Amino acid sequence: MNVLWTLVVVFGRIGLGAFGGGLATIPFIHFELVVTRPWLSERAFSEVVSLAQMTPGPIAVNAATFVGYRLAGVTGAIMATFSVIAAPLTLLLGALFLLSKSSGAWKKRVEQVQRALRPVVSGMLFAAFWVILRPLVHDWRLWSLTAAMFFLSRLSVMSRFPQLLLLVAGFLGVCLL
Amino acid sequence: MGAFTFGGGIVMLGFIEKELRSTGLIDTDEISGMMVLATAFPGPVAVNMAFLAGRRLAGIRGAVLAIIGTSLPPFLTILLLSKVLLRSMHEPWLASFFLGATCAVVVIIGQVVYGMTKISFGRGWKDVLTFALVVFLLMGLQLHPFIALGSGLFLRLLLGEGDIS
Repeated sequence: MNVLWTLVVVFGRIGLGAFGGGLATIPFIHFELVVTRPWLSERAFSEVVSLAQMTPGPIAVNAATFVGYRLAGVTGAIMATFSVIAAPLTLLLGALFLLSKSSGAWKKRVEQVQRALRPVVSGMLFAAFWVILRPLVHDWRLWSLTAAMFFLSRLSVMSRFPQLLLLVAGFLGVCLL
Repeated sequence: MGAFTFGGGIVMLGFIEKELRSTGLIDTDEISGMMVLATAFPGPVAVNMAFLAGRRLAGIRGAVLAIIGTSLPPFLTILLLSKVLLRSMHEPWLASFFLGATCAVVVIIGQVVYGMTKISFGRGWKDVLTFALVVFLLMGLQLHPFIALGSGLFLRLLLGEGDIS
C-alpha cells in the first residue's frame, strides 16, 4: 500500500482512539507505530514522546507530524497531521448533528459516557506509564535520575513549566550518561 | 473571529477554559458543556474544544480557523525540529539528552496516572474492576487498544448507572 495512504489510515485510527487527552493516547501510538509496524523503534518512540512534551500541541498531533515527515517528507507530515485531526472531528460533527435532532436526554447520556471513561482512561494511562518506563528499568543510573526528577518536580516552578523539568533532565542526561 | 488568536501553546484544558472565560463571549455553563463533549468524544481535546468554541462563536468558518489556530503552531514546531533531529539523530549526546528527558516524562506521566486514578476510583470496586480489565487487556494480552477501550467502557456502563452520578 502507498505510504501516504497508510499514514492517513493509521493516524486516523490513532485520532479516533484519542480519548481522554494527550497521554492516554500513548498506548494507541505505541501499538500502531511500534508494535504492529516497524515505523519507530522503542527508543525513537520515547524520543517522540519527550519531544511532544517539550513542544506545544497535543501529543497525537506531534507524533503525526514527526512520523509523517520521517516517512514521506512534508507531504507526509501534512497528510498525517490532517488525518489525526479530521477523523475524530468527523465523528464529533456527526454526533452533534444527531444530538441536535434528538432533544432532551442526550446531555445526560454524554455525561454518563464521560464518567464511565474515567477508569478506562486511567487504565490507558497506566499502560502508557509502563510503555515509557520499560526501556529504563535495566539501568540504575536512569533510576536515580528519575528519582532526582521526582524530587525536583515538587518545586512549584517545575509544576508550572513541565518543559523546564524535561530540559533539566535532558541536560543532566548529556552530562552523566 | 479575532477572539481566536490564542493559537500557540495550548496544552492544558484548564488553560483553554480560562482563556475562553476571559474572552467573556461564552458563559460558564456552556463552556463546561463543551468540555464534557470534548472529553467524551475521541480526538485531541484541545482540537475538539477549538472546534466547538469556534463553531459556537462564528459558525463553520470560526471552527475551521480555530482548529488551524490550535494545530498550526505545533505542526510547524515539530516540522522544523524534525529536520534538525533526523539529521543528528545518531549523535550520542542527543541520544543521552532524550534518555535523560524520558526520565522526566516518566515522572510527569506517573503524576498524571496518580491524579487520574485517585479521581476515577471514587465509585469503588466497579471502577477498580474496569481499570484492571483495561490494564489486563493492554499489558497482559497485548490486544489492540481499541478492544481494551471498548470493553472497558462497555463493562463500566454495564456495571450500573445508578452508581455513576
